[in-house]
Amino acid sequence: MRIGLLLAVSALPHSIANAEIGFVDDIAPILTRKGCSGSNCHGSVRGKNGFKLSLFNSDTEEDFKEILSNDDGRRVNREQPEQSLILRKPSFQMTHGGGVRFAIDSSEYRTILEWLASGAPYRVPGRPELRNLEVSPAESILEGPETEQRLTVMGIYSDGSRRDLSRTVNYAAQEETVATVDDSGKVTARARGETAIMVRMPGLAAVARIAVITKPPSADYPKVPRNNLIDELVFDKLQKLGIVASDLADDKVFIRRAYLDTIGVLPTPDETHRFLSSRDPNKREMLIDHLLERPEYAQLWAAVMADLFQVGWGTGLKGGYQLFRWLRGSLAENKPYDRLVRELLMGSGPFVYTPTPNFFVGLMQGPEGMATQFSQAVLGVRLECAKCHDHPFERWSRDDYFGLAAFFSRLERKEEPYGRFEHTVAVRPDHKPVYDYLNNKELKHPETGEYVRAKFLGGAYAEDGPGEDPRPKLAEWLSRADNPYFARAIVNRIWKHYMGRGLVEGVDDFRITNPPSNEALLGALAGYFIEGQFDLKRLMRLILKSRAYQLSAVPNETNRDDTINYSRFYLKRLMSEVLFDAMGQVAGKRLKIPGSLPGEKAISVAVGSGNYFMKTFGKSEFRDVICERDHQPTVTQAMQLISGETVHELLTSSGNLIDELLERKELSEEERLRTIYVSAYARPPTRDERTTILGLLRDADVDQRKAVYQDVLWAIFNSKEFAYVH
Amino acid sequence: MAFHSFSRRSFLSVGALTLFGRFRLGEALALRAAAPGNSPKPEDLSIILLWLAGGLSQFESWDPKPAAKEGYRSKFGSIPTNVPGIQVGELLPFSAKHADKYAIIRSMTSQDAVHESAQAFMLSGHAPRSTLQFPSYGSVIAKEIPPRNELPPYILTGGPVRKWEQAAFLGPKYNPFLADDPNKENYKVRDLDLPLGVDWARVDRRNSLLRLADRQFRRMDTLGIVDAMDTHHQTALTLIRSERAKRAFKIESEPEKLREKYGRTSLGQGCLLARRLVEEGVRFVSVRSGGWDHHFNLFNDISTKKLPELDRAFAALLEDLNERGLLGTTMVIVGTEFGRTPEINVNDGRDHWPAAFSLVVAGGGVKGGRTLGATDQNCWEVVERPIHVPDFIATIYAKLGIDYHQMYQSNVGRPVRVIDEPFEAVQELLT
Repeated sequence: MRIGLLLAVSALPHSIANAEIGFVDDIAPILTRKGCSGSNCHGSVRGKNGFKLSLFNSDTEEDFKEILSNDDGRRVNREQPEQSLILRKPSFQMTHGGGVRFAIDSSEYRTILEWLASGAPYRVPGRPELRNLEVSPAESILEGPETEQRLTVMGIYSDGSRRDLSRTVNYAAQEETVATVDDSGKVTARARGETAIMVRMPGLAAVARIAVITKPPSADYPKVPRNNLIDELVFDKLQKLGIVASDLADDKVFIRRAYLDTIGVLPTPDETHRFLSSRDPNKREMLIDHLLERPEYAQLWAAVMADLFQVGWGTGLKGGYQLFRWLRGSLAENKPYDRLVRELLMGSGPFVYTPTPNFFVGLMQGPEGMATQFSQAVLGVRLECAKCHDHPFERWSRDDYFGLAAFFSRLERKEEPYGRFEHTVAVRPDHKPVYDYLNNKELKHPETGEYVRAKFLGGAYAEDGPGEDPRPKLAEWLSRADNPYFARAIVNRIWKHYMGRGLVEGVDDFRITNPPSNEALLGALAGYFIEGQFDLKRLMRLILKSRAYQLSAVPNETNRDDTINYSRFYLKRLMSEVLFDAMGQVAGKRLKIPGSLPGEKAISVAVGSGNYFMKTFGKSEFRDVICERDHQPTVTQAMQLISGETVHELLTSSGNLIDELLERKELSEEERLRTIYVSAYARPPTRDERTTILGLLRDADVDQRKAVYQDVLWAIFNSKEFAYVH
Repeated sequence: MAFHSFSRRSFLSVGALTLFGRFRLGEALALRAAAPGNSPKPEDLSIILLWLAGGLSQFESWDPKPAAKEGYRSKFGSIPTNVPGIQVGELLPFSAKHADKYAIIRSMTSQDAVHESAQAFMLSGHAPRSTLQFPSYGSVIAKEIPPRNELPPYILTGGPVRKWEQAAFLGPKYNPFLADDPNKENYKVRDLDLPLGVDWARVDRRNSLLRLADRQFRRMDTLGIVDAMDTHHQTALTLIRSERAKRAFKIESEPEKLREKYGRTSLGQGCLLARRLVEEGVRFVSVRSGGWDHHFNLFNDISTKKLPELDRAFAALLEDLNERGLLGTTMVIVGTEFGRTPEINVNDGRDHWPAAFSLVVAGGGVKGGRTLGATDQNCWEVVERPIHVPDFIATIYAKLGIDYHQMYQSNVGRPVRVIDEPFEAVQELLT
């Protein structure tokens, strides 16, 4: 490729010195803007009609070569530039499948013509390079369909200068049903909703957020109490959008939600009763503080983080158990998150005896595998595509990818004879520059052939000395206050755990073209987390105590369609372990799970999928996908709940809740029913439920009554109210 | 789930953008009308997919390269088949006897070298996007063609079901039904029978109590959760009631000898179960086999375990379908997400190689006894008749009479094509 480029350049006439127009700055943007390099046209994987451009001209060098020299240079005519195919086709002087892209007298036409005439240079010598795009306004709210908003885009250059590129860039709306944008940057509202407008130049992107509302926020917009900074930012945005938040959830709903979300268990009937009857105005705050100190907190969060760090995947059962227990211990002592990650990052030793090296799952694929795993899990960034090509519009280049991989290049995964062969992660003592020990070769940049240097993602080189283990530098970079990824990635994951939706959705997919639904809020939460020294519980306390978290899930007229602004509580399905444990808790029976110690709960299963029930409800065999579990309901799940052995055993095994209640002769049927309902839903039965079920019980003998209670419990386990946090 | 209404404006803008697509729609329709007599009617066609997850090495299977250079060349050679001129890897002796029944595509090519996204691509025809999950073709088929009876139209053996095997925005109704591993001792589909002591009268009472219990929840349900779960609940109940379902899954009623012939492996018994299911009217069965990701120890594992399993299962399935007169209406695909590198790595393995790999298609009116496309002598790249992933998916849709140019409304309100443009159905497989 490089050779082709040189040939192309050297074959040009010597008029470059006078050139004012360069391919990178002037021509490629035209191709991007006019859609020539879009994915439906020449930018598709295979190009179109033999002419192939990189998608949105992300690879200007290749495109330059394709236009000037590929296919014997047939696309340009140097003697008679106006006869060039790249002018005649888009101006439709020749048949062109893409129709007319620009007219003969248009500025695009003239620019390309002039460029060809002046020798068609790749870059105008001495001209500063475009480094960044700035779009304003970054956020706007449009009232009603057909309202318009003009966007201004400034280019920022390597010498610090700025230039208005509003008419040079390519615009695209992510959701064209919400708003459309023309190629002058004029946005037109279409229907209620929110969308991002992408702004692109070859290799660069920026984004503006547009919200379309149908009527202006009314003057009598209800004033709601704001508990903390979260509420300020959530309710400010809702008010601007004219969306009224749902009411505060009642105490019954709140206690069940807080228990399940924070510690993964249901409140007992006693706990529910005590909470509901307390008149302390601060009882919610007190409950939250109490829950975060319960031992089950660490159990739940170890299970959540075990997915994130792929516990047990590729490092074995014993090693997985070691790491799982270590995570639980770290969470129980509320180890600051930056320290937790640093300790993982610095791990070395045999998998079986030491917990932290089990973090190096990706090392099976060498340093590059670690770069992928680390960026996705810890930084919330998917780097995989940058392995093979520079990302079309994100800033990630192959330098970033291999630069991150270089941090792991002194690590080696090898077998050591500890009685038998065990895998170990070790730091190589030798002084080879940068090495891929898995493939036994030097780690070099595939294009430049140069040694890869450790580089912080999107930032500077680590400047590590020869033979030095660069990992401490990476750990140090993570906890810097200005690290753009680390805090935001974990804050977003925790936010999603409690609020049901990430501020950035695709929690491992932070990128310019996937902006957060509320940038100010994500920024504030990350700031709060850093300022609190990466204290996880402090952050969770803030979220749990916000009014936003405590809203009802019942929608009102204004917020029924809202799915991104937290105007009501979003329903969340229980994690399979939590669901299994909750069913056992209600039925008063703890079923044995393969791979766990007797009496251990599902949430404590470190490695493997547990039993068939847990697997069916989404616990994966190997935690091999770093991103999230699948929570879609399936027919197999329905069959499990209808006739599966787990439910059947819970309903029928002797000494369960039903037996216990029936044995207590002093109880009325109504009291028994109430106990079952409060255990499962933290609420008494409704009047309809009570009447119907008591009716069934009234004419029944002992055996029949037992069957009725079994059927009631069956219906509860099959009900959506049970399967969801609401 | 919540589908947005289809605005006329967005339709128009999309239509304008994809001017090319329209021209080709006409071609495709003409093509379909011209399909010759030996192709089954679309509604009679069923599909069995042998899905080899991890990436089957084309070198050791369908595209042997005895002349490849040192360091690339397989430790295993090639053998002739029952079709003169066609050779396959020496580890496929049974399948070699049926080469007249299948076409080998040696020129599959893609750019995706990551398991997750490459599988998603191969099973949907859509290069995956982080913002949107696309439905697998099993799900599209389940949605587009009415089921023949109460059996699930899309069944998967192996499991658990992965994201890319699902229906995505088409809705959970079209997700695959998981039939677990039929190679298990005392195999039965889990939970297909009511538990001991529970009769249908009890089930009715339980259901009425369930309806009562869900009344509360409906108020907060803006996403159609209740309806989706109820649909599954009903489907599950129908299956539990179905005699046909019980019969179809009863793999132990097959003669011992036949079971041995397929091989007592997940893949072998999966293929046998697939034949039973197709006989009972299931349209699409995916038999998944894992463990093909041979970065390490390729030659040992593929020769002692993986290819012998595939070989027995595939050959037995072709023979069995043929004897029962089902091969003409049942298309069998041996698929995988990518091939493996020409270069043999230090661990005696091959790594991911999407640039050139092989698929095999049999039955369903596809003319066998031939190869399509070719790679160079080191299998570095495709040198003849490249076939891209969307082309292949389009071919499947064309055979089933599914309009592959249609637009779906995704869950984010964005209309998306059923397959990624551009593509062209592989005519050689249609005629």
